[in-house]
Amino acid sequence: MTEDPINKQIKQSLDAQADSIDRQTQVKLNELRHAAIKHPQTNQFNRFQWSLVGIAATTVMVISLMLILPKQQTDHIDDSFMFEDLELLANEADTDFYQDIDFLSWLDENQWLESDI
Amino acid sequence: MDIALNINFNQSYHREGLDKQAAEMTTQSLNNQLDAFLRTQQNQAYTIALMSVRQESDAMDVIQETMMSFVNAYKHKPQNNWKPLFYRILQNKINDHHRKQKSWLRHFFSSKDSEALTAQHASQQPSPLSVIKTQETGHEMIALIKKLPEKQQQVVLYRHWQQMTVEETASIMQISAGSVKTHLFRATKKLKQALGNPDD
Repeated sequence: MTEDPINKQIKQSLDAQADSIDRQTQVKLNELRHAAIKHPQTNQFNRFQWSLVGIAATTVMVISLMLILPKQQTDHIDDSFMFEDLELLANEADTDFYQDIDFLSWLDENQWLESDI
Repeated sequence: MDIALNINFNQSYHREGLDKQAAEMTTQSLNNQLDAFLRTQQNQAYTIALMSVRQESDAMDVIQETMMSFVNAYKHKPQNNWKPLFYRILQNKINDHHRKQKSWLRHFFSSKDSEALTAQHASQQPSPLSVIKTQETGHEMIALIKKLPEKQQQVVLYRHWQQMTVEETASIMQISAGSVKTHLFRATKKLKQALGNPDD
């Protein structure tokens, strides 16, 4: 099977185009080739890696703070309630006072009524 | 006992040295093969990139990124796969370049600046003078290929010039084999018509 003449023409034209690259461009292409083989990893890639590490570290810090801070606040509230209960239980007189407070207020109101009568 | 330990230590030290030397030789040999491969492809890859991105500096950037990515990711692949892989990376980088250009243009030129946008696109097209110059220097075919729609141009470059199979071309362009054949048929027809021999 013979090759289509137009295919041959395309190939020859493009080969000629590639071969006619000027000296300056050729030197630059050679430099790029050497750089790619000797130092394949670019600094840009390293910077990208570091930025990912930075983002990950910040995310972990924010999540940790979000988890720890509310817990500390609720602990503090619970402790304060606990101390108030202990104070009330420790002082018996005070508990009697709190238990009779309704009666005393009723008595007070009635005394006032009697005196009015 | 001491002598035996000493001999063992010397043997293992010697073996480690040989392993290291062998690894260095393998790396050196691989680098030589990579260098030889890239040297044979660099001009053709640059020509393909330049045809697509139009600007010399952009074509250089595309080639640099392609070489870096190829060496980083595919140097340990079998050598007979290097060429299709290299051109697939090249095509991806060219597509990335076009995407960046589009988003950049969209960012800076609103719909009010459509004239400026048109001017920007026009500046990326080869000037009529350069087309005439190309034709005058006997590269009429190159001028015609440059005028083809993007996909048809790529099919001609990879299938006819780089002699890739239909499947390899499809893989590089990330389209189906059927689409490759269709684009190729249309491109060849247009080129034949332009050259004045549509019946060939």
